Amino acid sequence: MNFRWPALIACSVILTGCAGMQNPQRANLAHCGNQFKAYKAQSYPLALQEGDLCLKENTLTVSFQSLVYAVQAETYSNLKRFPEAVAAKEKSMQLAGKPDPRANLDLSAMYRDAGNPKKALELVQYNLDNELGEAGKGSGFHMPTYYHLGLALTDLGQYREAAEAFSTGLQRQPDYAWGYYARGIAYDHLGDRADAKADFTKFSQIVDKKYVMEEHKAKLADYKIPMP
Amino acid sequence: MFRSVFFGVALLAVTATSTAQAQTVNTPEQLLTEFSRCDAQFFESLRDAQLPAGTLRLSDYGSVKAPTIMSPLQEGGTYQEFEHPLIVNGVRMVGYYNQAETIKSVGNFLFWGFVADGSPQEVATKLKPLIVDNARFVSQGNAIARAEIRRVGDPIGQWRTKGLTGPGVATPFGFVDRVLMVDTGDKAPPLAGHTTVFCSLQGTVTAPLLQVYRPDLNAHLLD
Repeated sequence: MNFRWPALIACSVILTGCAGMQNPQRANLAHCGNQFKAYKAQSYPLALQEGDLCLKENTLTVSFQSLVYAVQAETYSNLKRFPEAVAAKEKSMQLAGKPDPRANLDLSAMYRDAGNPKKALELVQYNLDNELGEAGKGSGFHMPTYYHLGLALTDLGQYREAAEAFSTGLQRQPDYAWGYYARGIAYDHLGDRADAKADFTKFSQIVDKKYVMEEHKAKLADYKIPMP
Repeated sequence: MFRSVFFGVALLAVTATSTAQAQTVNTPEQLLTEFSRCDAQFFESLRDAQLPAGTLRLSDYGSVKAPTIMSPLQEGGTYQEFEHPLIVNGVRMVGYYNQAETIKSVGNFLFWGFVADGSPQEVATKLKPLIVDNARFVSQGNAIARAEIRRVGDPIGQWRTKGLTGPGVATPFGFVDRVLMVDTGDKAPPLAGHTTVFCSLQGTVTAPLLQVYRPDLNAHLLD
C-alpha cells in the first residue's frame, strides 16, 4: 500500500532487460529483475530469495541496493514478517542517505505493524519537527502525514489526538475514505458513537469496495451500516 | 539516524491544562479566573455558579452552561448585553460575546469573552491578579495577551509557550493558537468604544479539539 511504485517501475525497466541473458554477470543481475517480478506476482518467498541473490551475487550501486532492500521490506511486510521488514526498510533508507519523508512514513507503518507505535510516532514527528512534508522540505503537510500520525496515536491509545490528526488530514483531502474510517475507530474508542457512525457512514459511501476487508465490514455491521 | 520522539517537546516549554474539577464559583473574580484558562472549566463552573442577579443570563448547552447568545455564527446574534454590569475587581463587564467563523485557506477562528468599560491598560491591570499564568500575560502593542500554541498530535491538554506565531501572523496549518487578550473592541457596535477581554482559538481548530475546550458549542459547527 505504501510502496513507491514509480521508483520500482524504473527499477523493473532496468532489470528486466537483463533477464534471460547468458553472460554470468548479467545472469546475476537477472536475480534483481526476478525479485521485482516475483513481488509483482505476489510470490513473496521467491521475491525474497531472488532479492537475496541479487544483493549477494552483484556489486550494485548504493542507490540500486537501496531499491532492492525497499522491495525486500515490502515483501517481508506482505508476509507479516514485520521485524525483518523494518530492518530491510531501515537498510534501504540508510543506503539512500538523504532524509526521505515518504520513506519515514512507510517505516512508521512498518513499526506499527511490528508493535512499536512509539517509534512509529517518533518517525512522523521527525518529519513534522523538520518541516519534511510529503513532497520535501517546506512543502507542507497533507493527508499522508496526518493519517500516519493518527494511526500511531491510535495504537498508543491517544484517541482524542488521533481523531484530531485525522480531522486535520481530512481538511486537506476530504475524499480520502480511510481517513473517515480511521477517525471513526478513534471516536469509537472515545465512546462517541454518534461521530463514529457518521464517519463510518461516510466511509461506506466513498470507499473503493475492493479494499474493504472483513474487519471493516464487521465494524460497519456493529453500527448497522450497510455497504451500498 | 532519527531524533528522539520528544525532540520538539524537549526544546519547548509546555503548559498543561489543569484537569482539576471546576471549583464552585461564588464571586465574579473567581469566574474571571476560570474564564482566563480559556478552556472548558469556565463553562463547567457556570453550571453551579452563584453570580449577582441581573448580570449574565445563562443557558444550558449540552452538559454545561454558557452566557446565552443566539448563535456564534450569526451576525447580530453573537452578543449578550448584561442587564446590570458584572463588576470584576472594579472592572465593569457590560456584555459577553461568542463568535465563530471559518476563513478559507487560513483556518477557523473562535472568540469568546467579555465586553468591559475602560481602556485596555486599565482593564488589564485590574484583572491581571486574577488571571491564570499571569507572568505570561504581557503587552503586545496596544493589547495585553497571553499566547500559546499546540501542534496537531500534541497531547490534547498541552500547549507550547515557545515558537509562537506572533500578532498579525496567520497560524500555520496543523497548529492552533490560543490567546487570552485584553484589547480595544471592534469599531462597529456593540463592541465599539469598549475593551474586550476574550479568549481565542485560531488555526487548525477541529471538532475533537472543540469537544474538549468548548463543550458549550456544537463541535461540528465549523465542519
